[in-house]
Amino acid sequence: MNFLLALLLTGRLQAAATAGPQSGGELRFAIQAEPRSLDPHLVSDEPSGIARLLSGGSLVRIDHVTQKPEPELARSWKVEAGGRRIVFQLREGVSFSNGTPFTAEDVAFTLRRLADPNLHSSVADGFRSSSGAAQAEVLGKYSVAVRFPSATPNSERLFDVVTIVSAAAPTDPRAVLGPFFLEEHKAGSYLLYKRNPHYWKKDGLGRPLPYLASVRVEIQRNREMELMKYRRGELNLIQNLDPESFRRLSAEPKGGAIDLGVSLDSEMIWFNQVASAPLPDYKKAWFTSRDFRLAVSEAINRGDIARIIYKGHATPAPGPVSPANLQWYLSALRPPPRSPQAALERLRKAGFSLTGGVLRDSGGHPVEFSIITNAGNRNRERMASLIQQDLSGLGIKVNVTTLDFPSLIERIGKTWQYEACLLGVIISDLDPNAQMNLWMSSSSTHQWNPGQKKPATPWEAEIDRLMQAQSQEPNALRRKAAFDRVQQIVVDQAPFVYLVYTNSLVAISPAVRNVRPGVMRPSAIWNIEQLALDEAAR
Amino acid sequence: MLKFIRRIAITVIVCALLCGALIRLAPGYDSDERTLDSSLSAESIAAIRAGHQQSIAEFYGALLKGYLQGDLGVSRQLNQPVRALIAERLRPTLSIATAGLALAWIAAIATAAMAGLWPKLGGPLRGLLTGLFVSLPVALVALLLLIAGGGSQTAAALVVASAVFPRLSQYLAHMLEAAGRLPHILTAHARGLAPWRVFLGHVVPCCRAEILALGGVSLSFALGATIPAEVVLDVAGVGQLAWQAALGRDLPLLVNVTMLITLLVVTANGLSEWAAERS
Amino acid sequence: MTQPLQRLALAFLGLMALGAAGADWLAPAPYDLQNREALGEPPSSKAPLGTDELGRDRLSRLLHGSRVSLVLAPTAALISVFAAAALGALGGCLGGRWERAVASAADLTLSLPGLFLLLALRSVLPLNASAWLSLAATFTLLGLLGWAAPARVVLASIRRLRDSDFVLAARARGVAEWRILAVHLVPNVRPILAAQFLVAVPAFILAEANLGMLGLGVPESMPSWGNLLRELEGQPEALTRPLERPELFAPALLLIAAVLCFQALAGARTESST
Repeated sequence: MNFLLALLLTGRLQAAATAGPQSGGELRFAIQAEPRSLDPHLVSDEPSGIARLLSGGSLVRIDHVTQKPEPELARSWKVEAGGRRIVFQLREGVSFSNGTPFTAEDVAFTLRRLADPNLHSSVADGFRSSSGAAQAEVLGKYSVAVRFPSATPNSERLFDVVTIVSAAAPTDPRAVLGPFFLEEHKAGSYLLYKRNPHYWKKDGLGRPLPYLASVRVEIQRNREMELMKYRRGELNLIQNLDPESFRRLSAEPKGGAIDLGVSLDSEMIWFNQVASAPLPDYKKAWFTSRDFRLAVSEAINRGDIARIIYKGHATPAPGPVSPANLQWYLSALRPPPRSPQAALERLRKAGFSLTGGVLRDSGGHPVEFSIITNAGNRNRERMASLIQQDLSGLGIKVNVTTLDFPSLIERIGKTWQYEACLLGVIISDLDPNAQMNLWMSSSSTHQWNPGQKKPATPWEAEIDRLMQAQSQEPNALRRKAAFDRVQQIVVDQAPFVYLVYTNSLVAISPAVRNVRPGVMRPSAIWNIEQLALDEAAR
Repeated sequence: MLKFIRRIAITVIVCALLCGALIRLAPGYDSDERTLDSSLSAESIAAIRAGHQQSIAEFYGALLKGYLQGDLGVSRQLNQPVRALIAERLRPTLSIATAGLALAWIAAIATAAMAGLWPKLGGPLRGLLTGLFVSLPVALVALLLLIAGGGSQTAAALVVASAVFPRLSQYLAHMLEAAGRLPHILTAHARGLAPWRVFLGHVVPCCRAEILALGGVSLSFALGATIPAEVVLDVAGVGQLAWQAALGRDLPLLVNVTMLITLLVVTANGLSEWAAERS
Repeated sequence: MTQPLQRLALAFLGLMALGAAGADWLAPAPYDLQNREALGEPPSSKAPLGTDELGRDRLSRLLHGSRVSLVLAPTAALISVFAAAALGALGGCLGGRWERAVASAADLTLSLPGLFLLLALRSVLPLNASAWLSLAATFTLLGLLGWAAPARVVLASIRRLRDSDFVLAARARGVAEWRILAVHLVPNVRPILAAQFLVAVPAFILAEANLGMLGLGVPESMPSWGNLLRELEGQPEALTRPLERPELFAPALLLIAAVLCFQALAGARTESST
């Protein structure tokens, strides 16, 4: 009887196993540039981030769908001392891909590595502040505490990007805790990852993950080529699809195009408000005038940008946080209704006048400025053309200049030789603390007027104060209220004129199973260890 | 020969100096995309900026020191040794350029021979083919091939061939036409020699020197066409590397790639000139 | 090349030039006016070539774009032929070290990253420079960079002329060097220069088209043949089914026709000069 039961049980398990995802196969997708660094602690670009995701193991992982932290190498954690300390209980019996066991020593070593003042990366900078660096303390073989120099709310989220490296072989690409390890790298062509035989995670049936035997990441700058390879079945998915390719794929029955809805990314323009910028004083006066900025904002037809440039796969944007950011979005904000009449009225009140189709300021200067954007980005070039026509309705003449990226960065970050700039923001970290340097007036990335000794305007002073307050506030509600106020000020003052939130568009071949796409980047492969390929596709 | 080598060396060195100075002085040299990252601290941004503050003299000093030790430096953008990068990328570029050149030469010789042997039909046909190919932008040809679904290296070789063929064909045709008017060739025709015998036995030997010179020049045409071909078709070759290096102000990479291209162009030109003189 | 073909080419180029010159009157709409309710419309009586993705009239853009390409490419060709003539004559007449210097400078120009120079030029131009100015600067630089190839031809022919009997005879008669240059060399080199000019014009038209397709061309709103060709880049399916939307190919066809015309003229010119 027992024997029969055992037979029946195994039979059922086998049936379930064959019904579940198949193991093996090679998933192929493309990235658009060579990763800048394969050191997981030096990640500064999306391709390097993908390399980190494939081979790196972290204590905590943010679920890209729920946007909540989930335990990974840490079984659990506890925040103590008002957010100054976090204690992790680690998983036992986990090994690196080279077979060496993973312990609290590796976590402590990783933290020491991040504390190195010569390591300049956003990962490391999250663990350092002017008052010092975070310190790790080994409490036991599988228990470690991290102490921050000041109260750090939501500190567990910081560990999502911290790849734990082996204390014995920190730079060995074959000693990793992630689902894959780097087997081969051909610069400019591809990266080939193989399954980590020691990966700790198992599926619901107790089968070892990852399902895939290997992942091939092709470096493909030409998006048209990427699309073609996808259509031919040489690639299994495309992330960050452009609207035109999306339209074309949507028309195909097995195109696999999916619009995931509003993403975290936005497009915006801003005016140069740097006091020492080499611009005539009357132009500086326009750009620092709230009415001028708001009038420009009111005159731009955001609906047309979303409809024409993004083929409907974008949403008019009021402020810095898109609705995709579940925790920090402020639903009360609305983009200014498009109204050239209201914009003209506002300009008239601010001393401008429209005569003979030309807008002039109170000094009689015709209003004319240039917008710079990066060359080769067709969407931005065409968006600038739309804005050009929208503003010509107010009598404003806009010149659009496209520059290659290094020249553009030099102008907006060093020489201040520009008038307005059209660029996009890609958000990879949902927490406002990741944007501290964007909003603090003293920061060098406070784009419209960086590096201020003291805030140039009262509203910038208020933003500074609110950002400081929220960064150390342990109470979630009070933090949200402070950051909501920041968003409201940004919309009222329009230092950045937000245009649209773009949608997250992907194409996933029907052969790929277990995909749980989320709008956070990378949208389709964040749960790579769960992805599987259909037998027929292999 | 020594003189020849000296001339090559001087041209390559001057080219490296000019190219280095050009990039160093061009706008955007010391900018880095990472400085726009608002999640970086002020210290990190300052450190990244400081890392780019290298004067042109310092750069050349380091480059020379590296060369003496057999090291070409490290690419600023790709974080990899320039030598390894060039070594890896040279093969696809050379095979594209060689295949493209071979194709272009075959097509050019075939059309020129056609025009030489049957001037009434071959001449206008050659003109039309040359005209058509000369008027197609390289980038458009690349795009067409891309859509036709060709493998990227084959497509790139075809692009190079389509860019080199019309120029070669024009030069060859002019050369052969001019040779055809030489007195001894007119005499050979008058004696009733078969056109193909006149062509192979008299016309071609007459143009040997010019054909050799054209051989050298055609290499520079081919190398020139590899950049757009590799960029549009996404081939990881030296042309694409040069393009990326220029866009990213990657001084060590661009100087070395430019030196390599100069070396190839000048050597090919010099060799064909030398061969032409000897013949 | 036959005479009628040459006449046909001239007539076609003339027609194109007339169309470009009269773009302001002939164009049904301003080239940058977006009709956002008529995006990507097929050809109609109102818009004979339809409208583009931003609702701009394609025919108007084509007429204005022809103006850019047909005015600036010959100007750039003139610049490069003049530079080639000056440097080639300098090297050819003075000979020896000078000749080697010009040859080396030509080699150097051919190997310098020209695309990088164009990139750098774009970034140093004032931001409020008009589209025409930035275009003119781009073509001027193209012209300046394009001297090397024709200079080699000029150098070679001057070298040949320098050793020819009539120049030697003139020199033996004690004719001054400048006179030899003016009376004997320049008139003999002129047909070669004219042929080089006609070869260079299509080369520059193409260079602009290639720059446009690499994303380094003129501003988006400003039409040029190179810029208009980029529309094809965004709609590659049109390339596989050209008969479905033939209007998309108008700039490519015009470009090919213009280049063929210049080719025909250049061919005729070389024949008459040899």
